[in-house]
Amino acid sequence: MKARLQFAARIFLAGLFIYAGLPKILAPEAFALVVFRFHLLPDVLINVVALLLPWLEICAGLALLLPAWRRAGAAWLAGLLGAATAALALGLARGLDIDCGCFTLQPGRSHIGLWSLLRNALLITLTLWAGWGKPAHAP
Amino acid sequence: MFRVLAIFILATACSASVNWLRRAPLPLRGEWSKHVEQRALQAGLQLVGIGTLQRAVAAHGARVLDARPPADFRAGHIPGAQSMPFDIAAELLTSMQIELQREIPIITYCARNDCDEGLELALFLRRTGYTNITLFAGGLAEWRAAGGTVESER
Repeated sequence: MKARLQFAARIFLAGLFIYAGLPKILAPEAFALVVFRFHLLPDVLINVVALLLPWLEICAGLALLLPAWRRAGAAWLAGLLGAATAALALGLARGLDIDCGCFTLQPGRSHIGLWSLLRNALLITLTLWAGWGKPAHAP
Repeated sequence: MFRVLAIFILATACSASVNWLRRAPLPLRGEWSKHVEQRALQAGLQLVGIGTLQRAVAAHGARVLDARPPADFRAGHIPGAQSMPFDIAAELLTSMQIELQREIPIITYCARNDCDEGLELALFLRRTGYTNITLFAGGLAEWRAAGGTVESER
């Protein structure tokens, strides 16, 4: 039963991160603006992160579906989620009035807030449980 | 560890290739320090996001000033906004064509996140003695992208 649930969670997470990554790949300028608005990275890194991050989300999401690669995928996703959570927390602490840009780039649809922190904490937990935990055979 | 590194290399190769294939590739280094939002922050101006602007427009909680040329304003503007092109703002204020109380919350905007007029108008108003000024740097383009309605005067 646990193996089935972990397998289902990995499919969910893979789909979620592919869904999160695609709009950022299709509109890198818009995503670079989202990254810039956090005011955390130096100029030289903003566009590089905006180009690389969505592909990391997609590659790591797909890796979750491959038994031999799932831990590496989970490590990346947990790391990315951790970094995003830290950026959101800093943004909230500094009173930034910005969008998260986590799953959509449409303005006004993902304002940063405590909900985004809670959601990311749940996703980190799910990622580690489903991807990093003791190997379980898929059904 | 090898697989963690392999995912990074694959993602880097994909991002570089796809960006290279784009009609207008995103430059690896952007000119973000010259971006209007960065300049606004360096000038000590407060920025508001789309959510704050939407609430202010819905509740009539602030005077929203459109800094674009009058023709652009007439073609379409944020509901309830007033036209105050930044280059004739002084004239509009001295001739009392637009009356603004000093402490009233004011939000300025222009066309997009790469235009200067909203910032210039906000800085002008601050120099003139207005104290509660913020900039919506996304401009009318971001307002529209968020599904906001637009008023026109044609």
